[in-house]
Amino acid sequence: MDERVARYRFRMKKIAIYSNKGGVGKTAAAVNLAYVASLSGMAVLLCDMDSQAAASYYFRVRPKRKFSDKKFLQGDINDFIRGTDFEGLDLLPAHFSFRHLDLRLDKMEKKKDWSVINTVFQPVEKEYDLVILDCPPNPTLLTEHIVRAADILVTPVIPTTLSILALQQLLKLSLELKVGHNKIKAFFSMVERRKNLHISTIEQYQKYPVFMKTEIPFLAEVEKMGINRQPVGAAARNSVSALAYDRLWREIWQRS
Amino acid sequence: MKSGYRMFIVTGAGDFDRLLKEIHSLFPLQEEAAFDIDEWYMDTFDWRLCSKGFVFRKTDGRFVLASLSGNLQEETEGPQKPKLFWQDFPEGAVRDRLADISGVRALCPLFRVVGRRRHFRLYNKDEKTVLRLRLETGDLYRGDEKRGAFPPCLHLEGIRGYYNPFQRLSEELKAKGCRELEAGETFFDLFLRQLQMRPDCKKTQFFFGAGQTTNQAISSIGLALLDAMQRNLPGVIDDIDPEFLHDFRVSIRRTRALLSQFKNEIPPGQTGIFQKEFQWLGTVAGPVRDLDVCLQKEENYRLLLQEGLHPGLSLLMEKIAELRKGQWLIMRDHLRSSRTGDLFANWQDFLTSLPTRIQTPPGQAPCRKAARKVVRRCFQRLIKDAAAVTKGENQDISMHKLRIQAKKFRYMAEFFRSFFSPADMDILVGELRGLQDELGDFNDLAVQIRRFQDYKAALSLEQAAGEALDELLLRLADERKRLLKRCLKRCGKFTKNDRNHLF
Repeated sequence: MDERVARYRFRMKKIAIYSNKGGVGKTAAAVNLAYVASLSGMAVLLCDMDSQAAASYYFRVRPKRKFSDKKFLQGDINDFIRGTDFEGLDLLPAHFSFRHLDLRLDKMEKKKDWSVINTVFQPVEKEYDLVILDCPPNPTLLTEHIVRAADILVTPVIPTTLSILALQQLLKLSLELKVGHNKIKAFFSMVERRKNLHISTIEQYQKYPVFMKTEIPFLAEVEKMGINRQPVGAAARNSVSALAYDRLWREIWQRS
Repeated sequence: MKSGYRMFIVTGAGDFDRLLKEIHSLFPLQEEAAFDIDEWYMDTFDWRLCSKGFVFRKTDGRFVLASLSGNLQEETEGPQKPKLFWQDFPEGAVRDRLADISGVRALCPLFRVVGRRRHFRLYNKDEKTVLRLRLETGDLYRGDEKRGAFPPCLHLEGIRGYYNPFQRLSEELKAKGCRELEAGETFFDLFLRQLQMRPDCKKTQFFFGAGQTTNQAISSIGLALLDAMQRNLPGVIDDIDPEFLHDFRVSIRRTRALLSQFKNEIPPGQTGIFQKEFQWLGTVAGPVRDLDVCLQKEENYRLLLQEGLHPGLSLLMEKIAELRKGQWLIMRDHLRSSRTGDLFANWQDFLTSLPTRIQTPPGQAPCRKAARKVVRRCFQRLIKDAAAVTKGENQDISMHKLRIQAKKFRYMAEFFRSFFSPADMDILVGELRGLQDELGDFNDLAVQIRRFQDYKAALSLEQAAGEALDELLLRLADERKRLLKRCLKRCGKFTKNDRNHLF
């Protein structure tokens, strides 16, 4: 029998890591923030919603064959959650059928019932303090559901024009969906301080309250997660990137 | 997160490496870490934590409070002292829970575990951990004395979503002769069994058959009470916590009640001596107990007084603590004296030989009749005394008489419970307990007022302490009036039901 491990008195919070631009470091952020949060004593569930299953790969977790997008949307997730190698951190692995999540959502009778995502995680709300959603890119119906359901929306932004554009689109979407901007926490990701474009973009935009002060540098150790198949902090606790994710987590948590 | 937990006792003379190799042939296995174990397990003298399903241990300077079921585990820092109270720990979950369970009792070392803990993981073809193992081996100590090795334990911790490896290894271990802990059995039970320790958390209950003589019954009750006195005596002498003295005094009172109620059955000429000596022993221990009650009530007193008088109250309590120290030294000398030693030795000799004494015919008669007569008599006196209280005749004295009589009846009813309907007796004793609590509170208050008046005359108090004491006496007098009303109400309720048919 599973133990109840939620330790904090607040209700379970949902943090979505989202950007409609691909390759900005969403999965790296989701994996590392989930790991750091679990180290702080929280019971954390990382939910890999991207059918590429990169987060699941990083934790060496495969989904059970019987899992599917249908079961996910029905909230039938309890039997498909798997423990990672790390205390206090579980994973709901992505299933290949998740590529149809949008279609499935569109076919649902209550597709405009914005409580779908909340209902999905209801069965585990007493077990976890935190659910971190690693979202697929592209603005879709699923995105709208996530934006509404999440307590915090964390969005990585590479200090380049297209990435800033993606953030502006997210802000516009949140306006349309009547979701407060203060829910969105952006941070500069894959920062290369040797590039003038990165420096000037950061200088231009960091003054906006939507941005966190912490930056995640572009480092080989983050890329090596694919080889080590574990969070950067687990491979090297005091590495530059591990400490950066730790700072980022604390900043997000304090400002939420 | 954990999904399933099982614990196995490894049999087979410690060939763990072979066992690990066998496990490795089933699943890839990797040793992750190994640590030395050096843990002190603690509990109160009367096993309060254990009886509530908790263990408390000190390890690497940290204190861990864990439930025996393994569902809860809280850690805290704490001081390095031989005896600890809940107040010694920093604010937090451990302190709160200890306060609830241990109360005024000290947490004393029970035993020590010294050994090695090895952590392993079993993984799948993706090198994902699917099961964790913990192997514990080592020795048990009581104080500095080694009491042998404890049974090697293998703990299996399942990982959520990977149930098959957990199930399969459990089956394999059983097939290899490892013994799984039975339902309700814990590692703590294993340690205690190895150390031949028994949690003594239940009140002694007596069961007498129809054929047992009065002398046999008196002997077994008296010896059990003597044992309680002797077990508590070292704690009283070392001043570990106030409950040792309280329990010691209760055993004396129960012994005196036994002697007085069965004076016709016990050989003539003997009861008088023991009555006198146990009365002396009770008197010796009385002043320290009264002072203990005062000191334990400090927080209650604080609530009764305005904040401005709190520093004065603290000074007063310091004086009382000093006074207690002096009284405790006097008591300790008495308890260490040959008079106490002789009393215990003579009483033990007397009780041991009592069943074989034939010169007292009443004592050789079956106990049932005499016991029922004693309990009935005590109950009738109790009802009479309770009625006197409700009539309002000299309430202070009648209340005191009632309290004493209630105790006598309760002791006798508990000793001879087996001669009555247990269900009826439990209901009656339950109701009586409510009355006794009220009477006890009232008496405590009366004693405190009396003692405070004595201290006022005897102690040279600073002005602030004197002012606090004056105000406290006024507040306690008000409190006493309030308690008196409650006691009278409770007495009325108790006497309302006719229970003579029970006896």
